[in-house]
Amino acid sequence: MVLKLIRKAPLGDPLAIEFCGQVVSLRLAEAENLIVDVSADCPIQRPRQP
Amino acid sequence: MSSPDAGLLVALVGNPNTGKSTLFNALTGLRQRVGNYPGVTVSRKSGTCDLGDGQKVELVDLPGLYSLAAASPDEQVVIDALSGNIAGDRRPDAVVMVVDATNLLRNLFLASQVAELGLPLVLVLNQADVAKEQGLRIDTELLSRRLGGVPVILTSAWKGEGIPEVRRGLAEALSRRTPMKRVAWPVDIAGALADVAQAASADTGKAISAADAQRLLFDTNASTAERLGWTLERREKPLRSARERVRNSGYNPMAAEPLVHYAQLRVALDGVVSEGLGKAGRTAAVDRLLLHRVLGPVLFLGIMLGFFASVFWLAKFPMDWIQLGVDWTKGVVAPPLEPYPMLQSLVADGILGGVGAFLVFLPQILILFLFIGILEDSGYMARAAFIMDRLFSWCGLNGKSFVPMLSGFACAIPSLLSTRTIEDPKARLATAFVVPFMSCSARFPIYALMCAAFIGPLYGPGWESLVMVGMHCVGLVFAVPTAFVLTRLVLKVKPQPFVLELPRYQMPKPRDVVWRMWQNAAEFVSKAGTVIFAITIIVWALSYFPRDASVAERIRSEHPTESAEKVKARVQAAYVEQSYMGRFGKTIQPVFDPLGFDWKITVGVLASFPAREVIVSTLGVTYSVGEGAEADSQDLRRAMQEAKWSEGPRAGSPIFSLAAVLALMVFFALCSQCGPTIATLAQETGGWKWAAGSFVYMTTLAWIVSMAVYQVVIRLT
Repeated sequence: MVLKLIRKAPLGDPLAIEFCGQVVSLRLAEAENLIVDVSADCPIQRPRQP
Repeated sequence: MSSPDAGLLVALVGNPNTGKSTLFNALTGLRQRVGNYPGVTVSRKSGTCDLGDGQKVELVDLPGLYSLAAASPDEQVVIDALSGNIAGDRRPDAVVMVVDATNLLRNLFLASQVAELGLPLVLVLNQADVAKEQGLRIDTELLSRRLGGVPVILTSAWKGEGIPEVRRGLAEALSRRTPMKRVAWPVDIAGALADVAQAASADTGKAISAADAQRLLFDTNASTAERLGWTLERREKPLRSARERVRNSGYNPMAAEPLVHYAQLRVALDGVVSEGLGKAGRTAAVDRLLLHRVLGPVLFLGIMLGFFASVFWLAKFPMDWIQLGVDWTKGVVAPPLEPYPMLQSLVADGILGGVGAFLVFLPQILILFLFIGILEDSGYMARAAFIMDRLFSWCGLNGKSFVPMLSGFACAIPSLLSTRTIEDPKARLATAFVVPFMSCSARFPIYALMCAAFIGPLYGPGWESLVMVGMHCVGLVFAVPTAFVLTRLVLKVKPQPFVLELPRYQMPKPRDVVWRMWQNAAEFVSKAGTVIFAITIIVWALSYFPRDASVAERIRSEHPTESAEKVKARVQAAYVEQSYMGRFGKTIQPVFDPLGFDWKITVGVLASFPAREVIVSTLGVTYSVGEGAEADSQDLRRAMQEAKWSEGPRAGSPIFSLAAVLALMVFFALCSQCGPTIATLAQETGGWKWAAGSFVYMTTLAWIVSMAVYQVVIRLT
């Protein structure tokens, strides 16, 4: 599942985020509380450790 | 309205913005019933659906939701309704699951959860026309096989396509009783679910369904446990242990449910949807304009001003016609009753006045709901909330509070009804509580009268306009801190995150918009109308009784040379003075004395509690100008300008000093003087507690602020 930031609201908050083909609003303060579990078969690679 | 022959109940379930209500309207036509679920202010909309083979079923349109983990009263109702746990309502015999054909994976998550209830199910892939436009091709037969043989039907409810197939599919599901294939839980999660079911059953003595066990294990809210009577002390340990078992198997217990469902849905959908070349991105293109940093707010303000002006100005004409109709009816009905003055007054002022008092709001309500329907169905309402959220979120409201607050400047009643669009119950309640502060059109006559009679002549038209605008802002100045205090200190409920879907733009379906507008208006007339009518009759009685005929004779004998019209005005003033309302006004005048109000203004204030616009005609009566006095009445202005205190320390000084004029306007700006608003607030908040709280709070606040204004200004002038 890919989370994509589409845009910010004209006043800077909330955000419009696309995932699973839908666009939802999410306040910045609430977005900070999101925990994203990256599953083992996730096609997105974790950033390599330096 | 015919009742279903077989007595079968079918639930219509789906995510918001899937066209569920459009499908409901297409399946039931206009044979619908609207009520409320017991104990909550969630509407229960049901209708009779003909399955095409002579069989009829009752179809109930459940509120839209994304998952069975209840976070709002609406969602809890869906879960309770599907589980058969609503008093007076039976468990559905089947489910019509509506999903967005353009987004099957996300929508099928809810379907997959509903499948756990084991009910026969029909899967309706709605908005097939949009899917086709986007180049999506869906193999419904393959999907049906993958989901256990449930009927899968492509529809476009907006265009009326696929509706007969849904009827046939429902008949088939009811006869074959085919449930949707359930999710296969990994061994450890299945074990944890069994542990939870066993522990709950042992503690409560009830059989625990698979669906209930999942809610107990996966949800953070305790609604299912509370319904089952599984106490916190009893459930804490077994739930912790079961969740630990899930965690040990490699899943976060709070995320396990969607992860397992989505993994299996991906497999089920493999090869079902194929993508071709289609038009995509129309919504994104429109959003680039409507949500643009600069253009977005400008267009938003333009749309909202148009919306507000429509409610305010378009409604003015039908409101005038209704008022004319009521006056005309009075003119026809009253003269034959001349020999019976009490009956004449009851019919003309009480009954016709009472009916007119709420009928006159109907045009505003109809226009408001017409526009709200268009904004919602087109997809713009969600964008409006998205744009405005930042301005409102700091005081505990959210972007959706904007529309009710703006339309509150026209009339609080439809605005209160429009708070239904706010999902967060805390924000909805706070918005409903502050909406009556908005300076509605009924406050305009008193502002107009005071500004024209005193501010304009004394200080010029510039100040007159400034005071007029200022008075419209007074309510807003107090509404915002009220919302802040209410949400932070009184409603100590955890605020809900503002996760709002920004749906695809689409053309609203006129039949659906008009039907919803009609339903809301009918609900207003049937519920608030009866209370408003009763209040008007009570106030009429208090202003009419007692009525001693000798009063009229005395006035006539004291003024033998005056015209009949002038004598009639004096008689009316005398009757009001000696009525229960007049006596009460004189008794409690000392309460309003610190605000600079004499007993005549006090009677006007008291008589205005059912409807604040009554103040002008009441002042007309108490100042012997006649009850037909309006805001632009020169006689009334002159009478008020000449009015002086007859006794006390202010004897000889004008009653309507600048301080008293400002205090009176501020009092009307803040006070809760509208019976229909209070009745509607009670209706929308599910009881009289908040309505009574609003009345006490606004009235007390109005007294304090008005007193402060009077005391400060009188010392400065």
